[in-house]
Amino acid sequence: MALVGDLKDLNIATLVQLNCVEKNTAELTVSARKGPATVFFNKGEIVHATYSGERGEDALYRILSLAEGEFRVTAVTEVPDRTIFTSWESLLLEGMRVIDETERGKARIAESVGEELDDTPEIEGYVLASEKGEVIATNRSDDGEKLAAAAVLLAWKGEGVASRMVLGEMSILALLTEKDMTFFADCGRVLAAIIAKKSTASEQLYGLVDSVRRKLKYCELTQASQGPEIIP
Amino acid sequence: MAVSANTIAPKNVRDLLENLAPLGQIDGVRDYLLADCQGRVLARKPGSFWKEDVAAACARDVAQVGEIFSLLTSADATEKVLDFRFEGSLLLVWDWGGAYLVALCGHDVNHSIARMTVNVIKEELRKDRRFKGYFAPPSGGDESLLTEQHLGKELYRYVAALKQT
Repeated sequence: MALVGDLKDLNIATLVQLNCVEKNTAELTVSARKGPATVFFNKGEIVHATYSGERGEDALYRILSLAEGEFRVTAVTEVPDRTIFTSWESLLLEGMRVIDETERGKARIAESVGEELDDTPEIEGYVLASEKGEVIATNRSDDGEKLAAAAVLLAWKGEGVASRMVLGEMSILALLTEKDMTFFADCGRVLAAIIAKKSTASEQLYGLVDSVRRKLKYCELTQASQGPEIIP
Repeated sequence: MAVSANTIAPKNVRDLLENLAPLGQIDGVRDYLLADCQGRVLARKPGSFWKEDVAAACARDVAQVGEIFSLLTSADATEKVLDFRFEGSLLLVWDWGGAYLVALCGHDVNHSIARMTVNVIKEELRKDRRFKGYFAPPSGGDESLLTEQHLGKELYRYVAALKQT
């Protein structure tokens, strides 16, 4: 019988540990925002993981950072070819270290990008938020949390449109009115909301928002393997 | 015919399709549809390559995005365009208040021509009393698409933060 639940009630590290200690041969799947995340256990050893185009240990470390999503653990008789050879204890320890570094690195990078946006006169306001909608950096004291919540919803909806219509990854979602332009960008583990005046050349603004997105996204990729890095 | 027969009379659909046709003649516009603010497909390009269920889901997503943005912007904004940018394409959405005109375009689409064409379409439709409802913001009685039922428990909790004043 499958074990089904929500990561808000049982965190991912505990779930992994449970399967390892119980020496299960099982498949753990999580419905995450970037698609399904999967971990296979063979007699209590973690043998394979996939998530968002990655596989093996890199995928597992990203899965260990998931805080939201429904999970399902199903007993299986066969597992895919092994891509993970490290003991589960070491994987969990390393996973926790990567998450900790990533969180600290994310805050530093967001602060750096925030300072850059502060110095850009075309930008009226910005919010950088976590995937869970927590504000990391903003200059909008009045509606920062509101924009962060909108960013989470729009990231989900954008991904929905992209996957249903097979359009590839959504880079930017913008609302253009006669007065201003509001941009939302999914930068991996960081979501950005940027508000600019309409008078500025729009393609210049799209370029600026895309540059922010790429910086945050690139940093996310480098952090997983090399630790935090700030792009100058 | 590419239409939700429960939503709009066939004659109106024919007229709508005729009105929307100039959009399909713009270089770079690959497909289009018109949806109401409840996410129901009213009309779509004849020969559209979107399957009906995909078009319906897209219309619903777009209407939800429109509703999210309406909570962020001032009510007096008269011109609202949503621009979804993907790797190889754009999804441009003109928010008319009571309806959304959605066009799938290549990155090479001429935005000025698209904007002008849509303005002409909008003005023509605005003259027609049958389509009056498309240009009015949804009334208070209309059902929101940002409910727990529509979004799921996980996402719905962000709606409360979004609605804070």
